[in-house]
Amino acid sequence: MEKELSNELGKIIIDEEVIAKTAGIAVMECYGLVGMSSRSMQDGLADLLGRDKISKGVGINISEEKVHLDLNIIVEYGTNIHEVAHNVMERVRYTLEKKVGIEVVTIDVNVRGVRVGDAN
Amino acid sequence: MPINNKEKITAVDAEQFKDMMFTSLYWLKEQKSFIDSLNVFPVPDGDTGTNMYLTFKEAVSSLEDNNSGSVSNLAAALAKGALMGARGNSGVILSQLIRGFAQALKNKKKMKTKDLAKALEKASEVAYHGVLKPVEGTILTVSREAAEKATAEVGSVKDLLELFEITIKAAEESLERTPELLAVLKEAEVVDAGGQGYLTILEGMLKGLKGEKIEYQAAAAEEKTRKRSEIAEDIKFTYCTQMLIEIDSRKNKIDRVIDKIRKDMQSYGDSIMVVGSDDVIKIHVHTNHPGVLLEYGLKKGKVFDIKIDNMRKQNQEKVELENEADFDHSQFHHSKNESEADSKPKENKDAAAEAVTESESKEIVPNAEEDAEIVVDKNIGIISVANGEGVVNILKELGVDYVIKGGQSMNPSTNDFLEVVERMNTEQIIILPNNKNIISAAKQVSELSQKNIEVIETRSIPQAVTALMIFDDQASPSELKESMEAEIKHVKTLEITKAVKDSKINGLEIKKDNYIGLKDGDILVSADTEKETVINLLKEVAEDEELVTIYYGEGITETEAEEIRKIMEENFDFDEIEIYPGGQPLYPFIISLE
Repeated sequence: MEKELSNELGKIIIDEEVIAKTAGIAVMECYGLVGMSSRSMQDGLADLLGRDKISKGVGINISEEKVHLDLNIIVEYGTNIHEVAHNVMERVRYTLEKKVGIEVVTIDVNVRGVRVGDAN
Repeated sequence: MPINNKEKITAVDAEQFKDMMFTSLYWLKEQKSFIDSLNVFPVPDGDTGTNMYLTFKEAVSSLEDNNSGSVSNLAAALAKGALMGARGNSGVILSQLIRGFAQALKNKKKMKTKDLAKALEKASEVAYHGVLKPVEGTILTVSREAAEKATAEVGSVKDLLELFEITIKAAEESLERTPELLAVLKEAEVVDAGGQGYLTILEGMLKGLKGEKIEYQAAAAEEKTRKRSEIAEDIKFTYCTQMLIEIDSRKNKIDRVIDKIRKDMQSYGDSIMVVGSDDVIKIHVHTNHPGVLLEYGLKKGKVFDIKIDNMRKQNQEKVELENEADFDHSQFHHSKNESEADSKPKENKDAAAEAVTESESKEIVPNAEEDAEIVVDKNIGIISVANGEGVVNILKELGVDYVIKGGQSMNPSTNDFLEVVERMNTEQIIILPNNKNIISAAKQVSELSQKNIEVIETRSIPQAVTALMIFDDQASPSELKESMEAEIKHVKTLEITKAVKDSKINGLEIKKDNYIGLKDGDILVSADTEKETVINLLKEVAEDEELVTIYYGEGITETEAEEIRKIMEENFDFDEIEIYPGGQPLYPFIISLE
C-alpha cells in the first residue's frame, strides 16, 4: 500500500518504502538509540542494521488513510528507555509531518535490544 | 585568566559538591525559559530548557537526603536521579553526561582539578556513545569541546576555579559555533538550546563553587514593580504579541494546526489565544521573546498584521494616568475587535474567528467586493503589486490596470493573481510583482491560466516605474518582457527601512530599530536616523546617475522629504530630483537612481 495525498492538480503517491526510510533516518538521529532491529527477527537475536537497511527496522501499515508505524529499536544501556522511546515517537512524527507531509496516526516502538557500550 | 579570589580551591569535598549542584539547579531554573526560546532542534517545541531543568532537578533532589561524605557517592546518586528523571531528548543526553561524570568520579572522596577534567571528558564520551549518528552543533559538541579544553589545560591551572573558567569559556565559544555546524540553528539565528543548557549548568557549578547565591528573578522583578500598582506585578511577560498566519489549509488540517500551535505556545508565555478559520490563524500570546514567536510563525506560514505591545510600559502609563484597581487585560488592546476576542475564553472560537475573518477580508482580499470584469482599454492588461496609496496612484497613472495590495511581509498568493487575471477582459497580460518574494507566485499564474501572461521580474517600485515608461501596447507580452527587463537593469533601487532585530550582515552590526539602507535588496549601510542612512547609502552607490526619484512613505512628511532633497542637492551632483508621496508602509524612503 502507499499513501495518497491529493490536491486540485492531481495526486501525490508516496510509497511505503519512502515513509519507512524517512522514518528510519529520523530514528537514527535520536539520542539514546544505537540501532534498528530487523522486524522479521523472531528469535530475539537483535541484529544491528546497516544504514542502507534501516527501513527494514520500520514496519509500516497504511489502511484507509491511516498510517501506522512499528519501530524496532535497540537502545544504549543506561539511558531512560521509556524516555528514549518517547523521543523517538515525537521525532518520527515531526519529521514525517514536516518532510513528507503526512500525518502519522500511531507509532509503536518495540525495544528489541539494549547495547552495553564500550565506554562503560 | 585573572582570578580575583585570593583563596585557591584545589579540591571539592562532598559538602561543596552538593552546594555546587544546588546552585547550578537554581541557575538553570532562572535560565530555563530563555533556553526554551532557543529550541529549534530536533523538534522545535520549545521545551529544551524545561526538560533539562526537570531532569536536573530530579537528579539534584536525590542529593537532598544524602549525607554521604564522598563525592563519589553523591555523583552516583546524581546519575541515578538523572536517569530516572530524564525528560525529552536533551534530558536523556544530560542524564548520560551526568552518568559519565559520575563514572569518572568513582572512588573519589574529593574532586580535584584533574578529576574534574577527567569527569568532563568521560561525560562527553559516554554521551557520544548513546547515539548512532551524533549530530554536531548540539549539546554533544559543546560538551566535547569544553572537555577537550579542560583536559588540555588541566596541567597548567592552579585550582578548580581557574579550570572551571577556562572550561566555561571554551563551552561558550563552542556554543557560538553551533549555528555553523547545524543549519536549522543558523536559519533561526539561535545557538543550540541544549548546548546553552549545558553551559548554564557549568556556570551554575562555578557560581556554587564561588559561594554565590542565586537570587530568584522573581525577587528582582518584585523590586521593580513594587513602586507601581499592584497589578503590574501580574505582568510576568512583557510583550503582548499578536499576529495572523496564513497557512495552506489544503496541506494541513486547520484544527490540528491550531491545537499544535496552542500546545507549542505554552512554552512561550501566557494569555494564549489561538483561533482560526479557513486558512488564517490568529495568535495572541504574552511573551518575553516576541522575536522567537515571529520566527515560529514564519515556520507555519505567511505572517502578517503583527502587533507587539510592551504591556509593562503601557501599564505604567496607565497607572500614572489613573489608579484603577480592576485592571482589565483588554485595556492593553486598542481595537474593539481584539479586546472582544481576548476577553472571551479561549474556546470561544466563533467570536474570535469573527475577528479573524474581519481582518482577513480587510487584508488578504483587499478588493473582494467585486467579481466584476476589469475593463482594460488596451491590448495588454497590466497587473502590479504595491502598498501605499501614493505608490498605487503612481502606478495607475502609468497605465497599470489593477494593483494588488501587497509587498514586503504581505505577499499575495498565486490565487490572488489568478483571480485578477481571470477577471480582465484581455487575453494578453503582463504582471509586475515588485518584490522578489512575489515573483514566483506571479510566475505560477502564467502556467495556470489560459491567457498569454508574462511576468516582468521587477523587484521594486522604481523598477516598475522604469519598466512602465517604455510600455508599448502594440508589442507582445514576451517582447515587452525582454525590453522592460533590459531597461530595469539601468535603475538602481535604494530602500530605507528599520531593522526588526539585531543582526550581523555584510560586516555590519545592526541593532534592532536602526535604519538600514538597501541597494537592490542588499543591505549596505546602517545608521541611527533616516537622513544619515540616505546620505551614507548614496555615498556608497551613486555614480553618474542623473535622475533621482524619491518616494516617501507612511509617517514621513513632505517637509522631511524636502530636507532630504536639500541634503542631496548639497552633497551630490544630480541633474534632477523628484519627490512623490508614496505612502508605502515599512519603507520611509524608496529612492531610484537612473
